[in-house]
Amino acid sequence: MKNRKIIAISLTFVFCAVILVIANYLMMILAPFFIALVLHFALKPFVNLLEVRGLNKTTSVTIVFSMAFFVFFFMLYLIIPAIISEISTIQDNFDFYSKVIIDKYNAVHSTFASWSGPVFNLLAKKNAETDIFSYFQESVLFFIQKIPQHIFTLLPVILNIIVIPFATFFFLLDDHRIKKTIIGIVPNRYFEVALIMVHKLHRQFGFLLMGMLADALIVAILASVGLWIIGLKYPIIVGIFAGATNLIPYFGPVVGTVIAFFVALITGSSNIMFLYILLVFLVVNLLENIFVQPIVFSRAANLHPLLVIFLVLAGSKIAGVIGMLLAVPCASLFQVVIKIIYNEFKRPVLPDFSKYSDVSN
Amino acid sequence: MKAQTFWGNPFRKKTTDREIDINFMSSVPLFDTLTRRQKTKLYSIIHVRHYQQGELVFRQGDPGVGLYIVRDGQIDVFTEGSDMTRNKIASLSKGDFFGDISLLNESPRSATAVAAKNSRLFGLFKPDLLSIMDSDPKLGLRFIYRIAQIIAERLRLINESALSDQ
Repeated sequence: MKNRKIIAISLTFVFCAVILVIANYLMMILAPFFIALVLHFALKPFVNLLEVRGLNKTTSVTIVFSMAFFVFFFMLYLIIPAIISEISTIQDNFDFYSKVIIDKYNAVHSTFASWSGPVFNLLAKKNAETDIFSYFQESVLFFIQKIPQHIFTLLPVILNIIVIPFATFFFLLDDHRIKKTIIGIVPNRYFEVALIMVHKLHRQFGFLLMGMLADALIVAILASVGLWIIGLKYPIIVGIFAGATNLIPYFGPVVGTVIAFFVALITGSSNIMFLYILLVFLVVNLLENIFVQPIVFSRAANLHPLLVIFLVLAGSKIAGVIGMLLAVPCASLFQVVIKIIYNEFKRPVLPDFSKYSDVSN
Repeated sequence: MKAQTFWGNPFRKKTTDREIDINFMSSVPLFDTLTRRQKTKLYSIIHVRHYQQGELVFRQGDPGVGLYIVRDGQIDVFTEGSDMTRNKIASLSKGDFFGDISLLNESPRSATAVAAKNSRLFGLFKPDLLSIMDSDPKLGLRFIYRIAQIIAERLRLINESALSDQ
């Protein structure tokens, strides 16, 4: 019995390690399928809605897919002009913003000039203006020189973007067949356990991804509106960043606030603006924690905060920002797998059935 | 063979294994109230499993999430005693089904099922059934109602048997 438990734990760790290694090496290939899976979860309820009305699956999927395309491009049509106008304003005021940064840098430099020690000496380094401009120039030159190389590295990205709609369409159309094929290869002895596992993973993954998407969207909208009310410049861009970074547990909201502070700093906002920004993000996080999270994550993973911080740090080490985003969903999936495997091995070992003697009533 | 090929109608639609399986579903009491379209839809979530003679389908006490229908072959059902004895309670053949209670409440298997011959089984499981009920509640309702009728009939027979024993 003890050996079985050791085998179960070892198998689980091997399973997790294999998944992590495969995910790490095949990140580029798996990414479009992963995004397609997310879109499949988002669109599936609408397909069900049409099927309930009596339409067949192919027609339902085609209608939902076409509508999703239309909505996506309509949203781009609505939101892109606003973003472009914010970006062009940033471009127009670029000289002013760089001057503000240099002024702030010089202020810091003059403050630390009288101090001593290696860190302060570094901060008090002279020629700040020259340093910043030469850094910008070098970066731009480096980028221009690398353009031909960038075109080739962009090709797989373009290919992935083409793959996403195709994969989404077939995930929607053939979800039952895909699941059946995966379970079909499992030996009879473990067939029902595999079926339960696939179903629970599918459900958990769906809850988590939909929860994360809803959470990011709500935070982006709330932050944009809040920042617009307090009069910060570029509220939409900052709001979108805040929504996206909010997906990273604990670290995300801080990053969102820092981005807003940076915008306030370079746009030469008054000091009271920093307090307003802090208030906006406090209110947004409070609303998110009280109203959004209990609803959208109610059926998702229940992990200890310390474990979540560890996972986010480990995720950043393995796959950067994507790793930070996926750390908690992956951990909750592993939790499901571990629970099922543990329950399977916890059951008592029964004697060989063929050795039983027959009796009759 | 050549004569058959020559005189045969090359335009006649060939019956596929899938169509044969769907036709077979009409002979199973579980599906006899469903329309052809509903049976086709339900077939999309049915798992076809092959068992060798003597192979266990499930063991008494195993977690169960669904029912099996005997497509071909024979399945023996036993109850296990704690003293390593087994009591054969049923021998099921083509069209019979077992494990229907687990489809409803995910209870542990109350008996052990073993393939008495090389067998082909259809497996229908709760998670798949729930997902198809989201997209086709009419089908789900009709199917669950049929299962309820079958279980009610069994309950009636057990009651009658218990009363006649007294």
